[in-house]
Amino acid sequence: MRTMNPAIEAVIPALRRYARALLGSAQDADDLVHDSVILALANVKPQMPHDAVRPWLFTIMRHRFISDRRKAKFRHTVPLDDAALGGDAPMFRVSAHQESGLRIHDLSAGLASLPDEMREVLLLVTLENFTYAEVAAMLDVPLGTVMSRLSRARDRLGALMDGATPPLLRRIK
Amino acid sequence: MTHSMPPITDDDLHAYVDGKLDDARRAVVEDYLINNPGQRRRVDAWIAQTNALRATFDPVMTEPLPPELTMAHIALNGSMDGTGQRQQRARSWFGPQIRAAAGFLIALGLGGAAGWFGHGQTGADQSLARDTGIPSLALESKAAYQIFADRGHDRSHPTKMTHPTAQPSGDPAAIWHRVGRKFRLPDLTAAGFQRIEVDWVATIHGPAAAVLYRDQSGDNLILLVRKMEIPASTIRMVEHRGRDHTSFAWIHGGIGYAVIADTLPQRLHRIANQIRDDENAI
Repeated sequence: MRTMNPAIEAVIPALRRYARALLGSAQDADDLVHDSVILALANVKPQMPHDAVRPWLFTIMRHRFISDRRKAKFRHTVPLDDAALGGDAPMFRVSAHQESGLRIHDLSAGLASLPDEMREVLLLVTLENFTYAEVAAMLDVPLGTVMSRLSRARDRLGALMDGATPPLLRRIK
Repeated sequence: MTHSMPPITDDDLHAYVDGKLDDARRAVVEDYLINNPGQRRRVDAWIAQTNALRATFDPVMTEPLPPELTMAHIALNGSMDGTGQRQQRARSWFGPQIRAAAGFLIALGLGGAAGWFGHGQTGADQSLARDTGIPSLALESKAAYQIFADRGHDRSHPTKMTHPTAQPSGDPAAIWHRVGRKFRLPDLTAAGFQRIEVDWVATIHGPAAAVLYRDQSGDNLILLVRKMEIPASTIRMVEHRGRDHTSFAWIHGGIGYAVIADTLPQRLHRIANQIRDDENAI
């Protein structure tokens, strides 16, 4: 069983990145990763193909996240703040040549205000570079649902970042 | 424009941004965007957004892992106890004081975990890949060593084993009862080490006996003994070399042993062999 440990360990940094973006709080994120990896180790199959490990781990973490949400372990929305992103972490330094005009604070706050199901799709695609089909399989939803969530997440986040539209007015549910 | 191709959809634009189009389709989308500046702006905004997300969160990838997220720690505390749920249950068996002390031991042990598991990533992976309890024994012995034996360079005062969870020491029968196996304390006089103290310590895997030895030059040696979770298992001796200490750990008949010292590895190896052979002879 433990032969899978290196493959699992290799994914931990990505799990942390995703969880940090998903939850905002570094502590909550690391707790989620920790619990997820323990669950993974308890359920690992030694014959699992190595390229299946990453989506499998993200799926486990997603289930754990939903379960935690149900238990109201996390606040409904967690505003990202400097502390949540690790205080003086260099990630705040957006280089001057970056012409996106996006301010990190807006990005973080905007991300936090997205509904979970939009945020997870956006992050799985953009940060983790999963294929749409992989995301659909992980979420157990049709491909079309993934695409519509991705589209709404991008439009909504874009609107939030522009400050053009108050978030609640953009909520189409 | 290639009119035979399917019409451009929003899905194509997302796939373009996400780099998920094949070359032919990407060329078509690029053509389309040249002729549709409104869509071009949308796509550019998505690209900028994606870049901003990565710029914000990619640095998490290169942050050093907190100790509790290293596989060494998770494997020792999680999977070795079985499932996550079993770990939760196991926690409730311990009182808060012991739990805190166990955490302290773990924290100390993991301070040197990188060194323990040896030679970088590969060493750690290999150790864990064949983890049978040996790495945890090594970690626990290091924690005990740091608490009880490693008091800096001032060796003028006798080291006293004092620990929040330590029972009044000196009663081997009580200690071995706790550890779950009765055996005589190894005599290392021939190797130059006098027995100083014996006590039991809390580990996450249960109580362990810790025996402190010291030689004439003031070098300390700790022998850690505890019952393993797998009954009657036997694992041959494994050496762990840290920056400052060397340890040898082995399992015989379901009992785990670890010796650790900052003495020469060859000398310690001989002592470990002696302890093991004496034990096996009983």
